[in-house]
Amino acid sequence: MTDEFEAADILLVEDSDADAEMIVRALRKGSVVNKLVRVHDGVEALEFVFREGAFSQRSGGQPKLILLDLKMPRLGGIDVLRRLKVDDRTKVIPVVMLTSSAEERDIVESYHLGVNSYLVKPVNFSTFTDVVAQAGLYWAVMNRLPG
Amino acid sequence: MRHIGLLRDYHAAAARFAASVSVLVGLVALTDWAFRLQPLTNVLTGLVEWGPYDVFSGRMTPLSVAALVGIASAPAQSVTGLDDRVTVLGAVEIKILAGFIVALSLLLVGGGYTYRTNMQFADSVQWVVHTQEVRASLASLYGSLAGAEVAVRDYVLMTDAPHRDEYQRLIDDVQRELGNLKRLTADNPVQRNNLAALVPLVTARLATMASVLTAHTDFGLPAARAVMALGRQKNTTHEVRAFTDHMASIEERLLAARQTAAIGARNSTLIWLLGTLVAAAGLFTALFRGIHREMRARRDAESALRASAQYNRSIVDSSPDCLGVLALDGRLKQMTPQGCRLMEIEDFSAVADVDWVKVWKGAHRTAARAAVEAARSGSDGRFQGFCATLKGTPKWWDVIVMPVFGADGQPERLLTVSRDISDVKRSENELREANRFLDSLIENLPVMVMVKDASTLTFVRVNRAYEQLQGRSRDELLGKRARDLFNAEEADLIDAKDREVIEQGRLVDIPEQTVELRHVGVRTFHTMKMPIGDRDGKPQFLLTISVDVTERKLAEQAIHALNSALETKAEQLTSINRELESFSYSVSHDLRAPLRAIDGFALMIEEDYGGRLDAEGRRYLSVIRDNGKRMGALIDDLLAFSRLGRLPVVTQEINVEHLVREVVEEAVNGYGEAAPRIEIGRLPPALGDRGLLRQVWVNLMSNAIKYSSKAARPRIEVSGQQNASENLYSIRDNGVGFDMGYVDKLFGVFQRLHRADEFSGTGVGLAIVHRIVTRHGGRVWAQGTVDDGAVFSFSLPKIAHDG
Repeated sequence: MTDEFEAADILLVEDSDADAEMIVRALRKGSVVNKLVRVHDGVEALEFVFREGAFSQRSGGQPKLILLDLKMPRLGGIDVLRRLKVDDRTKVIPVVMLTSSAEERDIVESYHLGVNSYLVKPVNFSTFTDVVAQAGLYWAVMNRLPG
Repeated sequence: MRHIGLLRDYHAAAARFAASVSVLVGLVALTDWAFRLQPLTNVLTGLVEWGPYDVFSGRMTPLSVAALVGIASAPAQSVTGLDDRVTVLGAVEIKILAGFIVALSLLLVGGGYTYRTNMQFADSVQWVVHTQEVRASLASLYGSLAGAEVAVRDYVLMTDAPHRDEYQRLIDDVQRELGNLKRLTADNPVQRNNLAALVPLVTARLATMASVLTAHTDFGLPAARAVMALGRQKNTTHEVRAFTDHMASIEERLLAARQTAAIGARNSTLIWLLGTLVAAAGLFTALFRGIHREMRARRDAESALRASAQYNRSIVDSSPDCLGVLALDGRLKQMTPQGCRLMEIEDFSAVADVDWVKVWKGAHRTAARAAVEAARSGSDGRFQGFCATLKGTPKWWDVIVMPVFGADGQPERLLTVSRDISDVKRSENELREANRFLDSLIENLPVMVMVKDASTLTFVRVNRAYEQLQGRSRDELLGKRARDLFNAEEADLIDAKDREVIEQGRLVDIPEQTVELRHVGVRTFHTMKMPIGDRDGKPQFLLTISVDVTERKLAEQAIHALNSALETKAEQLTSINRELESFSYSVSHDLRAPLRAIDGFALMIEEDYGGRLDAEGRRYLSVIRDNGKRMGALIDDLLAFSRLGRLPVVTQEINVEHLVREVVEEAVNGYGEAAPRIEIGRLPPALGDRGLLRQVWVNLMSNAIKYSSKAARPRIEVSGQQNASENLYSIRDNGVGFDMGYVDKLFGVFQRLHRADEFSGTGVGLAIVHRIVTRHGGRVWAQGTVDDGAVFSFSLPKIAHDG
């Protein structure tokens, strides 16, 4: 299990299994074959990133991309984003919001907190697949990070 | 005072007259005494019936004594009864007068004495002549007598006529000389006696001669000789001779005595004269000195007086008032230069002699006349009056008319002092006007105003509102204290508050004060109390202003209750809104997620297992996906609609024609030949949120296109018009129209009049239109007929509405 996470290129934070499955499928379809780790809520996401809790023994570096859902049990996406962007260790990790909410309020707040991209999940699955695949390709493959 | 003065004047005049009479009588008597003027004295003494007296006696008569006393007392009498104002004679004048009287008396006495001794001297010269006449007469008497004897003898011897004539002539001479002697000695008793003794001797000799002659004639020579011899024996001729010599010697002695007396008199006269002259010279010198000094003093006094007069004049001229001098009849005689300036008189002669009283008009003239009358009778008259200047400038004057007394103590002229009080009068008027204004203001104020005395806390002023509140007239209120009007407890509270205000010296605001009043019951007042200080800032009055806020208080309570109800409602609304928001949030997020899963997994089936499904199976999947998409559209529209309620309206001026053309361009894009004919009329510009109004036009236009799409010739008209307060916009199509029976449902959310397979749509478009227009303060309405098109209209207010 631990090894599985060692070389996580993409961290997917998504409470909905259906969405998670569709996202993974979309990424694969879009030829993004990077190693992906999926967690179910904000708490798990932070534990993963800061190597706490279940992930305290995790080795390997930080993911190249975090795909973050907004509305989740326990800890929501906005709170996770805030924690990530105020911490020097994590603030350079690209975070892409991938959410159903097209609320202006959520978009504005996310950008204020330093989100790198905000994507609304379309209901139409074809479009959804395109959006996710393109984002994954861009951020996880094409984008260069410091260090 | 004036009567006393007059009395004193009469007294002084009487004294002066008495003194004059005394001096006159005294001088006359002195003259009389000095010159021994009998006739004058007789006349005077005859008048006063003091009887005749002997002038030459040299005695002082009672009159003379009285005269001297009179002279001596004259100055004293002149001084008697004088006061400062009515000076008959000054002290110096009295001295000079006394000096003159003394000098005159001295001259009179000296002159009289000189006159008298001179007269005596003249007498003594006459006496010499007299004596010589007597002696000559005596000698002639004796000579004639002796000659007559010789002639008698010769005649007897020669009996010739010449000797007889000679004898006769000599006898006549003797008789004449006797007569002379008798006349000459008439004033001398001694000589008269001697003459009486001589006359018989002479007579005897003459008788003897007559006897000789008779004897000669009758008896001849011898008888004559005998008689002659007889006569010779008696020797009387010698006796006569002795007598005449004796008488002559007496005359000689008398003459000598008289001459001695005359010389003595002459000497004493010289001494008197010299003494008198010296004394008179001394007196006159003294008098001259006195007069000279007096004159110099007077000259000094006069120049001082002149200077003083000039000084007074300059004081008078420098007066800022109008000073005028009137004659007693009220005619203007003089006016100060400043007076002329004030009255705007350029040339005084133009107004000289006018009747001053007639310068005033109406009631002021009456006042002016009264003032002049008062001054004329010796007191001051004062009045205030209006009188325009000569050039017509209106002015108010404060005038005093006062008498100017002459030397006799009677008003001689009148002095008018007129002060220009126009400014004062104007300010008085303004003040009165301002006071009247304030009074009326205070009286008619709808709030209660009362003023209390700061020390006694009694009412000194109340206004009508307060009277009405108390139900008492101000006569019942003024002078009263709080205790007289309120119950003891309230009154004590009021008094305590009043004292607090006075002590603190500043305004105290009592927002609510509940007081029980006699006829209106318990009322609530908003009261303000403030001290009103006097000039030194010491509290003099206490001003209280009260507003009856009972009704307002009740209203406030009602409003308060209403407000809290509203607040509760608002809170409820807020929580409902919050719920709605979280609901729409849930919708947007949670409802779409399963839809996406439905669509996604349906597609996955299609992609991964499509080959294993028959056509019907694939159609089912397609229905699943269509409905999923439709639900997604519904959710999106619903979210858009709910978001409208929360978006702020940003107002700006919008060119609606531009906006509509833009919308039309987008709407017809892609229709190609099938595009409807769209006519855009003149559309007034609007105030509103461009984005939201654009949405309105998009929805209306897309509706019009959609519902007219089945018409043979789709046609859409956009028009606009304006009225006073609104801009109206309409869009008409010739499409399927609608049944007016359902017009109410047109603008409801998810309300559709057509099935989705007839016309696609979610039923939110018109609801959005309604919401946006309503948020702009406008109205929206529609008219339609089934299969005969529809008109959708909305209005926007001309004034920006921030919804």
